[in-house]
Amino acid sequence: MHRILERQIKHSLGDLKLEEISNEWKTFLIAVSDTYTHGDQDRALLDNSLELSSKEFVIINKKLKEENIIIEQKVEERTKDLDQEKTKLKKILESMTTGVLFLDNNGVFSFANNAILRILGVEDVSATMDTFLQFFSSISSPEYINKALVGESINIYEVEVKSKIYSVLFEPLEIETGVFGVLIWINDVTEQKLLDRSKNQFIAIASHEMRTPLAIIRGNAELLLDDEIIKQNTEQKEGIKSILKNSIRLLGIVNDFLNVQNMEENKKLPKKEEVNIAEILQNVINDCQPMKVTKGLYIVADSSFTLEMPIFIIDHEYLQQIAINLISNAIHYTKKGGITLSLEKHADSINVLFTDTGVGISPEDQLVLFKKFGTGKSFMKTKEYGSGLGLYISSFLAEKIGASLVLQKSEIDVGSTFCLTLPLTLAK
Amino acid sequence: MENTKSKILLVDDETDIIILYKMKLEKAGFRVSTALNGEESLVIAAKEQPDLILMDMKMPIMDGITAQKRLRADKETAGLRVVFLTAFSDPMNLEVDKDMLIGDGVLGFIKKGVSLEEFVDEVKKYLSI
Repeated sequence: MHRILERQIKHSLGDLKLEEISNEWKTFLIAVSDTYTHGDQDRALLDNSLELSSKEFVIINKKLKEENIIIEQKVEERTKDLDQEKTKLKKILESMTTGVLFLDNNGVFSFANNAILRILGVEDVSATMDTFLQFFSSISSPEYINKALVGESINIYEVEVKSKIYSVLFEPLEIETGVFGVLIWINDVTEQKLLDRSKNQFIAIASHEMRTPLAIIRGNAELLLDDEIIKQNTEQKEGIKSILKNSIRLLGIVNDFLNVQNMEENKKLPKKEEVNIAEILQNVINDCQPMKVTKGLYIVADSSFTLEMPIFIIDHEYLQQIAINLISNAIHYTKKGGITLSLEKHADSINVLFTDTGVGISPEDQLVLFKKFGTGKSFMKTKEYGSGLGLYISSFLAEKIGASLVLQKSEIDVGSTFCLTLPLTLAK
Repeated sequence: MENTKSKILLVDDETDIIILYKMKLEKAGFRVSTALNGEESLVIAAKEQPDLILMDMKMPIMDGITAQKRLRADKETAGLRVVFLTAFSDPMNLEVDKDMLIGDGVLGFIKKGVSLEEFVDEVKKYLSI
């Protein structure tokens, strides 16, 4: 019998002799004793398992502590790396000659590099923002900062302050979750701008100085061609005609130079006026007729000009100038045949095609076609040539009015087609 | 035609320009007097009272714009009309007093380098204003 049960029976019943009790009680006591024994066994099992798990726990805990140390070491290393990266980045920002100002996503000043402090003449960093706003008071910085905070990048190319010229860029800093700040970049562009200005001034002066002598040569050639004696002397007449033709050509080149310069400098926006493109182009065709007389070329508009076309809201002078440039270019490079203008209606645009039967443009020349001075190698093959600015001017003007100019196709000795695309968004 | 008897004062420091334009204008029937700089033009303008002054802009001694100012300031010449004769492609873009380039006696510009026919047509156009 279980010893606890034995003790309990002894305590409450005194010495109990098993022989003296009934079989039923005996069976009952044995069952109770078994239960006690089972309980003991269960407790032993539980104790054992508790001991085991606590041992395990100690092991795991040890492991964890070890791992924690490794992680801590790693974190420390990474932090060090990050700090180093941060220091490097800061160094880069510091050593930049571009002034950098960082604002957080509320537009509040949070960082400025040395360059900006130098530019603004700030000694106390906390005064940077106020000084910045004061320094560039001629531009509406708060408005630009607000725009940058919603993702718009704004570039102010030229701000003159205290006889220096700066460019200021307001750049939103974005990640997937949105704008987290604004960077303001400030560059001192004084030297570039002054160089640019002196270059332009040089062109203006050179062109001006060339125009007077050219006017004299042209005028005198014209006067001589009017002279009765010269009129009768074919050889002299041809010579003077040549002087006249070439002085006009040089004047044209001088004008091109000046046009490009005026065009690039011009900050005026193109006018917005109702334009009937077929009418404007037909007028240009009529005006260009005298240019081809000596060569017997044709300049015509095809039947597409009778189609009804939308009215465009653009600057008619731009369209006119583009067409004149393209047609006179085509005349220069076309020996026989002529130039045909046609209009094409598309779903989202009207295309104006200028097709000539000229010398064509080789693939390698096509690469430089719209560049400044990009006359290419065909320049050497034709007798008449220009300043190489015609197509540059034309595509520049096209872009200004929201149109685009491309070479659609060209084949050597067959001809070329230029395509001016006027998007219907420009139509009335 | 009344126009063709008009008196024109041609002011330019380039004698070649003077000779050329004088010849052409006289051929077209105008009476032409000349001056080689702004200062000279003031004296001749006062004396001759021309119907139109063709004034170069860039000249030594006295430039065209200063001469134009001086013409306005003198009551003897204040009523005379001036057309600037220039080799600048865009005179309105010059860094000079814009008021001196338009209005107040200045009718406009003739650009050097146009054909002689165009030149005479321009002169006639300005005379008829």
